Order: sequence, then C-alpha cells, then structure tokens
Amino acid sequence: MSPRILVIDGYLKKSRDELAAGGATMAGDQYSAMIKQACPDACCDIIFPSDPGGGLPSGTALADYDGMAWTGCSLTVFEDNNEVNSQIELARAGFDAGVPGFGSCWAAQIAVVAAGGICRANPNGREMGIARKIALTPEGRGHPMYTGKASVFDAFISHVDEITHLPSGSTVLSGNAFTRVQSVSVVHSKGTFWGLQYHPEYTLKEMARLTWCRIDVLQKLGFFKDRSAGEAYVDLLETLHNDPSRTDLAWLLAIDDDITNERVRRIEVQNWVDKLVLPTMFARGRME
Amino acid sequence: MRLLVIEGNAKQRRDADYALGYCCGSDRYQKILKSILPNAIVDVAFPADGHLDIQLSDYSGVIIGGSGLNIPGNNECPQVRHQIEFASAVFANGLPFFGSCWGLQVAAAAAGGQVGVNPKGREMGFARKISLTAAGQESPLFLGKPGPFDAPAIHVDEVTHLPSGGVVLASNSHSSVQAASIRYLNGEFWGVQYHPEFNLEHMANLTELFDQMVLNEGFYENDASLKHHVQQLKTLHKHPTRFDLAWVLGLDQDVIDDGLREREVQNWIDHQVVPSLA
Repeated sequence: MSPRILVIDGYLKKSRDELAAGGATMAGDQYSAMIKQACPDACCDIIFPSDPGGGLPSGTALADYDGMAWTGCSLTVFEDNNEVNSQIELARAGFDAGVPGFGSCWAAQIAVVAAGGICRANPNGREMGIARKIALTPEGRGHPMYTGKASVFDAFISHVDEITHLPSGSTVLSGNAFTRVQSVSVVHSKGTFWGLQYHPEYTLKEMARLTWCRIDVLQKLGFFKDRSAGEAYVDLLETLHNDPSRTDLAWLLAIDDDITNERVRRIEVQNWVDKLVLPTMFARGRME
Repeated sequence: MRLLVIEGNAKQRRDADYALGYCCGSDRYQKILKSILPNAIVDVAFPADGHLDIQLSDYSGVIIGGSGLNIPGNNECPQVRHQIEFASAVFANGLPFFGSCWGLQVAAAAAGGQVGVNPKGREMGFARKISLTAAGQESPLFLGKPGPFDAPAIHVDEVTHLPSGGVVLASNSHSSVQAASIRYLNGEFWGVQYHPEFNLEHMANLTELFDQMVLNEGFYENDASLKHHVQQLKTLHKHPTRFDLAWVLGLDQDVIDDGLREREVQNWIDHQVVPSLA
C-alpha cells in the first residue's frame, strides 16, 4: 500500500487568496509536491481546517493516514479563536492516533502547544528570508531527521512567534542566535512529530513571492529602505531562481548550497518519510 | 609592553594600498592592539622587503597578518622564505605568537606543515558558518564568540597538512582549517584563516584593489555590480545600524561589531601574552 498523507494547510481563505494574488503557490500544494518528491508513491489529501467544514475528507478517519504534514500559517498560535483551537485539537487527535507528524513554522508551534508547551512572540522580532547559522544540538546531530545534513546550515524562514517552553517528551534539535528552537521532536501520547521553525518547502521563487506580498510590512520593520529596495531584492531572488548558474548573486546574498540544493534543503522531509512514516506504516501493519 | 606586527606584503603592494588612500593589514593590527593595550608599543616589520634583524627578546608577542604572497610553488622565493625563517625563529624563542590568513600558513609551513591551493577556489568576502571543533570549544581563543560565526576572509591557499603539533580549532564547508593551534619548538601559535582585523571598509577597499581579479573569478556580474557592492559595504561600515543593508548581505554582528569580530585578538592577548609577562 502506498503511504497516505494528510496535508494540513491552516491558512485562512483570505490569506490564501492574498498570497495567490501575489504569485505564490498555495502552501498545501507546495507541501504536497515536496512530499511526493520524497515519496513518489504517496497519496496526499489537502485539507483547510480554517475553512468552515474544512475537516477530514468525508468517510476518512485520522487512522487512515500514514502521516500528517502541516504547512506554515499566518495565524497566531497563542490567540484563542476557533481557527487556532480547532488545529490544536487536530494535532492532539493526531498524537492520540499515533500518526507521524511533520511540518514547518506554525506546525512546530502547534505540535508543541498541543502537547502542553508554550509559544510567544520572539523578542528579537521577525526573522525573515534566511535563518542564518542554524546549529544542530547534540541531540539533533544524533537524530534520524538530520542524517546527511551538515551540523550548521541556513534555511528559508518567515516568523515572529517562537517556541518558548517545551512540553516533557520534547527535544530541541537545532537553534540559532535569533531563535533558540529551530527544530523540535515532540513525543506525546501515541505519536511523534518532527517540527521545523524554518521552511524546506520554499524555493527561491516562493520566498521571492512571499517577500513581494509583504514588502510594505517588511519596509515598516526596517528590512527595506523603501519599496524599490524591496522590489530589487525580490528581483534578485527570482533571477537566481531562474538561473542557478548565477553564482555571483548567490555569493552576494550569502545564499549557499544548503538553500539552493533542493536535496540538501529538504533532507529532513526525506528522512521523515524513510525513517518515521514508512517504519510506522510497517509497525501498524499497513504495509503489504 | 612591546608587540611586533609582521606586515606580510612587500613595499610595492603597500605603496599600491597607500596610493588609493587605503591602509595595510598591519595598520589594522596596530590600531586594534593600541585600542586593547593603550600603553603598549607596537612595532611593524617588513620581512618581505628583506631579511629581518630583530631582537625578539625585546617583544612580548608577535602577530603575522595577511599577504598577497603565496607559499605553494614559492618556497624558495626570498620574500616567502624570509617570512618562514622568521616564523621558525619566533617558535624557537617561545614568544606568544598569533596570525591570520597568511600568518597561519607561514606558521604552519615553519613548523613542518603544508600549504596548498584550495581546490574550492577563492574564499572571498566573508567565510560563512565557521564552527568550532571540540578542541576549538575548549580553546580560550574563542571565549565570548557566538556559536557558529561568519568572518571576513580572502584567500585562495589553505593549510592542507598540519604539523604534528597542530590542532584544528575551527572549520567551515569551504576550508577545513579555519583556525588552528600549533606547538613547535619552544612556542605555541594560535591562528585563523580569516581576518578578524578587517572591518567592512577594509574589505571594500580590498575588493576595489583586486577588482579585475574578482571580476575574472566570477564574483560579480560586471564592474557596476562590484561598485554597488563596495558602496553597500562602505555605507554599512559608516552606518552599522543600517539593518536593511546588513540583512540583504547576510551580515550579522559577528562581522559588523568590532569587539565581537576582533575577539580572537583580545583573547590571545588575555590568555597568551598577559600570562607570559608574569
């Protein structure tokens, strides 16, 4: 049987439309494509839990899935509203059903909160573009998610909230000077969730489109002197995306192989499939 | 206290720097040492100009900085040979001994190690994601330095073989020896492949000085993009709070903040030079 993965795109419809209008690919689609790249046999169902009636596809239960993969999301995990609470509940149900979890940014935060941890606004502000010098902890270096990854790497990022308190059973796998928890393993109830604060699913093009959608906000925060500086930066990212031989641009922007080489950037996803999803399928008797 | 700084470049290159209004690497070290030790006397010597006749016992420590010279293939060239011989004398004397870039390579060669051309090519501008080895984490050289760090760098050669008294203290994906300590004869050398002594302005100046070389090596699309980058570096140097520029160029406080960037020099003084005075 091929693995069946539930892809959870938590964005509000309004936010999805805004990003789509700016030329960004929908988060759920980016995630499905990334999962299928790591596991061509996988069958991905995308759901939108922030939409009315956006729960599991009719006739399915969480136990029918071999993995839950969560995209990022522009909601705030420590705000009390239906969209947030329903996703915390879904993450708890995932832990109780023993379905392996994986996800970026919001996803790591939701997994931690579902298991009893705490997230807050990062006092350092917004970390945007490229998270620099993420270093594996000793636990991260020995963790199966990082087999084949360098001990220090950069990664795409965009967040203002961060994990401040881990529930028992959780382990910090990496961090950098800006954000102490850049990745985490959450073992809770019957499940295991590997969460990243950064975004392996982004490409330079997706990072460029996201930046373009947020230029005015980023300018207010001081990332760009003015709008044209923001547009020039977006243009550089897209030029490098369209022509990876432009090593001059990669060097100028300090964008290394750990970002531009998709296999290196997404090795966490490959390891999640190979070392958590497939073995769990086997253990649950779902592998013929 | 009297310290000796070795300028690795010959007169012709120094004249080229000064003609453009730039300073030499040894000038940077003089400035840093005088800010750390206001009462110290700092002498500069020029072994690339000819054999040095220096009374080493007058000094409390020696620093060898960068140079445009290359050891591979040039062991018999007098400009190179004089410096390796001088480094051997410093080891024999047992003085506290520090070096950056060329300084590390010269000390390694003097102690019996080997220097070769880095197969990955030139590491230019900023060495990224330098991380400490287990020995580096134990070394006082890096006290107060943040986790993995970036540092100004410009080199095409690297230490390929450390002598038997050498220990790698830091490395990154471009250069396996970004820092090392070397025990040899009566001395102990601490050195880095990068340049804690270079600020952003100095890096901008070197980029201009070597504009044809870095253009030929593909670091810039054209002359206009080189000039734009140089301007960005100079602006950020003048206005270190220009977060927008630092962010676009991926430059953090480990490079921008003088105290953090020069920390290895401070640590060498605190942990090698000062204790040796006792």
